[in-house]
Amino acid sequence: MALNAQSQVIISGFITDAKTNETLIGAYVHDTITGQVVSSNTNGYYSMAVNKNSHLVYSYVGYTPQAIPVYSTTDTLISVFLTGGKKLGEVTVKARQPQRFNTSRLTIKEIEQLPSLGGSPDVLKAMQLLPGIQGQSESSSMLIVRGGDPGQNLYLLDETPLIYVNHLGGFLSVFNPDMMNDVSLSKGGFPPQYGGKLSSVVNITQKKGNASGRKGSFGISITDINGSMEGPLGKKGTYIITARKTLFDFLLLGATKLMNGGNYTMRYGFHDINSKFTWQLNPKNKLSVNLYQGDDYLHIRSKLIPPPDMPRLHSKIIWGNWLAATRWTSVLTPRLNTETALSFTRYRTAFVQSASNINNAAFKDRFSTAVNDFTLRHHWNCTLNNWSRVNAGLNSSLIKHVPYRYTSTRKEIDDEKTQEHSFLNTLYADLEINATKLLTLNTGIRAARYNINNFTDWAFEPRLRTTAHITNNIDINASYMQVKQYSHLLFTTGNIASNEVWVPANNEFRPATSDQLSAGLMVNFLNQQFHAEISGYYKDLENLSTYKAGEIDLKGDINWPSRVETGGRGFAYGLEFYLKKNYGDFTGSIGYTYSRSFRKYPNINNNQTYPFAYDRPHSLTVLLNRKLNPNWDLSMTWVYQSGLPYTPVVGRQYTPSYEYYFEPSGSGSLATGEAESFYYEALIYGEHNNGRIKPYHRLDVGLQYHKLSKRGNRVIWSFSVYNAYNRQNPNYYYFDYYSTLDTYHPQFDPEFKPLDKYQVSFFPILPSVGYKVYFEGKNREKNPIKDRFINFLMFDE
Amino acid sequence: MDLLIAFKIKKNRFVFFMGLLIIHGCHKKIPFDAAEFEQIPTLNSILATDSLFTLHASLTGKMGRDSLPVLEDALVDLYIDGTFAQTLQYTQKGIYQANHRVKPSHQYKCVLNYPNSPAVAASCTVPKATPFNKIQLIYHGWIDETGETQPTIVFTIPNDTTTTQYFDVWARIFYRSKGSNENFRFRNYHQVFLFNTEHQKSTVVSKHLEFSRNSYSPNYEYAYIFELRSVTYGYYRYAESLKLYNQGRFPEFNTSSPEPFNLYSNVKNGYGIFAAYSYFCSDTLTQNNK
Repeated sequence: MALNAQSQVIISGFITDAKTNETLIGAYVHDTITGQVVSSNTNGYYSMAVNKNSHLVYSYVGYTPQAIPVYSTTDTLISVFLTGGKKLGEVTVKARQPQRFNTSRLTIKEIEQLPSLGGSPDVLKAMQLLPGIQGQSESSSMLIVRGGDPGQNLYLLDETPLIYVNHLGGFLSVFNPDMMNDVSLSKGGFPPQYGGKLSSVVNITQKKGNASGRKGSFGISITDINGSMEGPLGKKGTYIITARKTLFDFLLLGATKLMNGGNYTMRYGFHDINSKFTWQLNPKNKLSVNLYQGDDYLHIRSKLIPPPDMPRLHSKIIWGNWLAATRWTSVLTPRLNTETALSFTRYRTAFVQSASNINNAAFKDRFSTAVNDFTLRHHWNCTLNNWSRVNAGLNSSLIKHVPYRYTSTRKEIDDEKTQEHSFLNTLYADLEINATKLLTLNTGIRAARYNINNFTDWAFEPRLRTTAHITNNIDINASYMQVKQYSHLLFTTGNIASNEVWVPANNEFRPATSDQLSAGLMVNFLNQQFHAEISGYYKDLENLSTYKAGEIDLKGDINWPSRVETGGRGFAYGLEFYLKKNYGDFTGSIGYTYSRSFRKYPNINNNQTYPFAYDRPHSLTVLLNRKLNPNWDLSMTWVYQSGLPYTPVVGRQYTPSYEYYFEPSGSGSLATGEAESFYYEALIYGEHNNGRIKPYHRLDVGLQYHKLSKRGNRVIWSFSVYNAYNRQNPNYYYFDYYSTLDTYHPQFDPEFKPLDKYQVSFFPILPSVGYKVYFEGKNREKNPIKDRFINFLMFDE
Repeated sequence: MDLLIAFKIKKNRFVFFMGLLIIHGCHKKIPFDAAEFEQIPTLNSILATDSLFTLHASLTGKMGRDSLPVLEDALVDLYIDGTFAQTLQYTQKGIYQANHRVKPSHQYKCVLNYPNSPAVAASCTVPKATPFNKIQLIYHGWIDETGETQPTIVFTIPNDTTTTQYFDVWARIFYRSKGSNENFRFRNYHQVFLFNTEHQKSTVVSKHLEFSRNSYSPNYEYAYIFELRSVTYGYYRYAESLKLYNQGRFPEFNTSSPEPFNLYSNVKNGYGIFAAYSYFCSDTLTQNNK
């Protein structure tokens, strides 16, 4: 409130890369007269109220700052193009920078530098190295955020929700780094703009494509072959297309063919294709279209039994997403920026089994589960004056859940299907008040109406965030949020094939809710070379759902709701510490989290509270990056985590052989088939999740070699060693008689055999290499825009 | 040998799954110190009508390399319809037996006394057998994942709508060479389907059940006898729990962590299952006499 509103003008616009016209997200605009600082949003858009005679400095990490004197007497749109090339540390903003509490952010460069499993960098795996964020398991990209379930994370691809995010059973995420501009993850204190998932918002902003000329990349690693292409599209447009495809599915096919003489073959792989088309219609209006399709698939073909005219069988499991979205961004006035989007997302898993070459008996059976989401979204971003702004909007979604569908070409089997349509309409508003230079208050509400069949639910979710700016480099924050989730993800711990099923909230499966309180302290010191954070949180969860004890899927049961346990409660709390070195010879970070998470269900563990399946009290990560010379970069990560809980075997008991053991009489008579029962030893399990697997730790080392090819293209060779000291981290334990892959089934064997304890580890030391080349088209200088620095547009033009 | 085919399929899949997704997946035997577990009497008996009353008595124990002890010197009393009938005689391997044959509609109760343990007791009332109203075998009923045609049965049974009844259908399977006139030989005997009548409002229950012979040979033809077991609630709960126990104990492909599930017990102060059933057998059904 330092300025008189009469003497203010609104300056707004977009901040982009001068060479590529790519959006710069999180760039700072500093009013050196008033000390006010704002940052650009995911569209690169900023807006601030300034004095009529002001002096603005635009800056972004790694870019040369631009200083612009403002003498305008009217509201003005100023779009700024920043030129890259500055190292971090050469430029620092001597002003308070807006801090984003409860939010983890990684740059694409940071992600690409990390050593990776299989030589392919992965966004979600990288996120798991940050405090408060853990992986579902060693092989999974699914996130566990502050003790929440894996289905409580909202994944947004250019603000469009994506439902399934795993490739290769979680080995990789579906997010292709070639396509990304910015990645952030919000763990709490969600702005009212976001909701519908209880634990986190993962916001992935994609590039819009290089405006100055055509360029692309080609890469190959152990997991996949990938490529990207981007460039201008007419005079006003840009495009970017990326694609990935596994190579080993064909290797696997050949290997299995050789091993089995063609009687049994298997092929597993994934692909994804991602594209974005953007048109800058005029300085105030931008239109973009996103298209994504990605699938994982496992094919098993067999011709098992002689003679050769026996049937050919084909089993297929396929799962993945479709996404189509269009987004229109418009600056209606310098004070008011709007965004309107229409999107469609589909996720489905299908198990298909078919047989051919059978006399009059060919068939095709298909079990599937799916979610279809149509959403219309409208968002306003309004700068009222230099001390307040409002974000508001509405979402309207039509969601079709198909938790269970079974079809068969066989006449004797009836098709079975359950599907439900739900409508979710949401209104939200968020008021930001910079009450004084020392205090920023965000207060808002998200109101939702959910309707499905005869069930209607209203939600009023209060959101509150307040930040005290102690100095330019020290901030303290406290936040409270309530969130409601209208779908439940049923999952089991660690199953390879995707058995994750989404079920909609209704009378039976009540909407899940979460209340989270969090507080934190952020400090920048030594000329912003170091950044430190301490955060604490407490989260309360209600109306959770999961599989009933012992159940692992819904397949083959039209009465599937009987397999779901409802009415669960949970709570989680934790402390997170994070120290990051931003620039210098060495860069890196140390993160430590102490956290606990518990669940309670009426029919699990006798209604007693038990540790959540992903409860890891201690988690420590160390990241280190070092530029060895102009060509070589070294990076290392070390991870230590408490072992996951599991339900231990505590004893043994005899039980009758319900399936009988037979001693065929051999008399050849129909009447003589004497059954003989026996008693065998069965395991007795203790309290649910009362045991804990050994701690998990792992060191990964990566080396990157950069060079220019003879044609002048940038080439990167990535060498990485996963689990460098070959730690055999247990994934789970089991008891068996044999040490081979065969399993001993005591219920079929009257002879006692002693059981031993075994551990299953996944990844031992795993070296990998990746190659990537970046090329530019011949017209790279055809449309240079690097000399453009500023576009002024008086708003009444 | 053909019995192993289905298992081989799973094994092959497992090997390739592991090779692909776990790369160098490692199963390693690890030492473990089993914590002490109290030795609690375990009483097991699944009684069939017309069979001699038999019971198995043992003790629970901690994990270890020796087999669990059976009780050779326990005192086991049998009560029928609330009246003391006799003390069971120990035979061998933990088995105690009465000279009484199990009859439907009677309540059987066992009390096991063992030194330093509270009395262990369990009871159940044997249901009456329920006949098939009508049963039909569809010899080529469906096709399993190996491409083999498998049988389906369609049957109806009467339903007492005043109470929930529990059933377990079993198949006795016989075989002989295709086209021969030789007698059918016994092949296999296993569970087909467990169900109850909890939500059945009609006085007749109809079922259409696909099941697998669990074996295949193109050179054989098969005959079936279906056994409709009218089972006690304890039997039903135990059978359900056994399915989930096995599912968690022996996960398919062995690639996921087990989902542990304890066996159901209706034994007071102890472990085990005390249950009973009556049964009704169909005629022998073949491809020709459907």
